[in-house]
Amino acid sequence: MPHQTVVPTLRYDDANEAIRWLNEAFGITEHFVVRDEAGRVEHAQLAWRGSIVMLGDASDDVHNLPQNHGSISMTAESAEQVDQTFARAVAAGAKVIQPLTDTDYGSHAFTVADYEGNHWHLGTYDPFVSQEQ
Amino acid sequence: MPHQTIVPAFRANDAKALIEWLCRTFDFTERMIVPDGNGGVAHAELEWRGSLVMLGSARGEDDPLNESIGKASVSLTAESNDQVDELYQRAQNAGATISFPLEDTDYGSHAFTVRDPEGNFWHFGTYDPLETQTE
Repeated sequence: MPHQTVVPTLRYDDANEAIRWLNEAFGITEHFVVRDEAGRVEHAQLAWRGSIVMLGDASDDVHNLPQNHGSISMTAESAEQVDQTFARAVAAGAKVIQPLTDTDYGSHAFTVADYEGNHWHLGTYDPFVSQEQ
Repeated sequence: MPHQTIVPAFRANDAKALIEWLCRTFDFTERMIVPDGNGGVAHAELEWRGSLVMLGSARGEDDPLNESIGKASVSLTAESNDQVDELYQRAQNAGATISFPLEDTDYGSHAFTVRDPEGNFWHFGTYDPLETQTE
């Protein structure tokens, strides 16, 4: 299987602040960030467990992409990671959409919204593993 | 490197029609479809070059994900210029709204961006974030 070829893309009013917040809330790290001379983000690739999410600054949006409506599902490596990340996200001010729960499809999961309204779901359900059975 | 762990997920007003359109236009394949018992789709996983998007039918006004309808934005890594060209032609034939015409970008990607019938953005390009940045 090739590496990730389908990448969610988001748009933020202030991409630098988004990068900082997403690290604080979810532990997502900078993979590759292009900034202009003023330090404004032109393009950012953030990594989490070897996969990428891209984001950019709304003021630089040549594609006129939608804002505040992104929705991303992330696969956790363990229930403990889900618990820890939930606590971390709430501490960072994330809005709880679906509290930490054990779902009827067997996932230990939660969904929160970031401060601009994008939804982040984290759970142990792994679509790749579950379908190989 | 593990397989994809960050997956775009969104709702659709007409999930069945959108799934059919995505499969016909972009060669997505149905990996998993869970009916909702009311003629809609509770959960769908579509695969493209080994990665996934997830989608499902809109669940009414109480659904916090309602706002994602028509607002998803996804970037896909093509395997070749030829694949991008072919997909661009197919997208046009399928009535996609051209957001950015086919071009060679200043960052070296052969790419285009279109919107599907519900308004979601689909960017296809040869630029591969996971290869170019590991040099």
